[in-house]
Amino acid sequence: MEIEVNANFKLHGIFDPPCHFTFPKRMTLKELLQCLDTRWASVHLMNNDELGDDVSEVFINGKRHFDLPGGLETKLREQDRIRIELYMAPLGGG
Amino acid sequence: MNDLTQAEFERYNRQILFKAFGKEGQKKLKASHVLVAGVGGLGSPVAMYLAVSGIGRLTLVDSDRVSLSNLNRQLLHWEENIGQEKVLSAKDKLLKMNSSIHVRAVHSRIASGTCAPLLEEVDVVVDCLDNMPARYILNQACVERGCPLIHGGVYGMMGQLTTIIPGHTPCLECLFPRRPEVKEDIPLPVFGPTAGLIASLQSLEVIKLLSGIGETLQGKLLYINGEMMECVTAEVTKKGDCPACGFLR
Repeated sequence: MEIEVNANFKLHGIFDPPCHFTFPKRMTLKELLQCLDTRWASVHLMNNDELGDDVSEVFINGKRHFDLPGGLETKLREQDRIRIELYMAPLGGG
Repeated sequence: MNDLTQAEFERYNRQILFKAFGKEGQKKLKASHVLVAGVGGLGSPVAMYLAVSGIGRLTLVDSDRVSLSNLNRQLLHWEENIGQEKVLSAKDKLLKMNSSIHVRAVHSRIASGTCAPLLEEVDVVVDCLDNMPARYILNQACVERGCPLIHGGVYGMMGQLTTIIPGHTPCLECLFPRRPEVKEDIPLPVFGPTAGLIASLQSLEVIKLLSGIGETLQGKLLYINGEMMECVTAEVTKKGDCPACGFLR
């Protein structure tokens, strides 16, 4: 499957989007995000079993993952194209 | 630009000694007007540092009154001030710290209709607010007026800040385009030292911006995780279709 990760920020030497990957292995969306989460320090794609604060949107073949019946448990296929949009989460307190 | 009196020269001597800043930097601060939006956990130390550093005019805006739960972090408000308007509590202390500056207290919410007039004759705005909806309104007003905005935010032991120059850097809505759900009645956890840390850096950004020295956090978001003692600077980009600042392109 083809994966694209995009963001409105970059971290020097750590994270320089857009990032493109090809994953041959079949897995669920959650497993994919958990796998990517360990790739970059300070970029939060997963928070335990939920989407991380930095994830804005996830699209599978152009469809938002929220609109898919399986949600994060959606099984990904080899021919799938996944696009992940990241925005940093604001800290609202003052 | 107004020259410095002998008393001012002595009072600000330790910062005037910094060569890149010097007497000219101090005169620039004296001639400046800074608006501090929110005088709580962030706004208290910001206003204190700006007052004692010799910013000529400060405008404080806040609609709250002092409560007991403020006192773990809001250094300008004391037990004797509980129930008082925060802006008046703050103004009183600031003038005791430095009676040579002008402080205007505005007991008001940051709202769409009231924000723009507050920015007249203001050189820099410091975002020390405690909720995102008001921050977006302040950001929009700063973008429309072309006024620099120093954003700071905290949560627990985490903090972040950036310097926004409308038209040149991403604005707050470029950085955080997802408007979080409004939960104004749910208080956020904040430790005093976290607010103090971010507020100190916001004050430093103001001083550098006004005096024209050093590098500011333009186009960069500094994120500090005090719990893990991690510090990250992210480069941030403008959002082409930003509803707040997109018209400036």
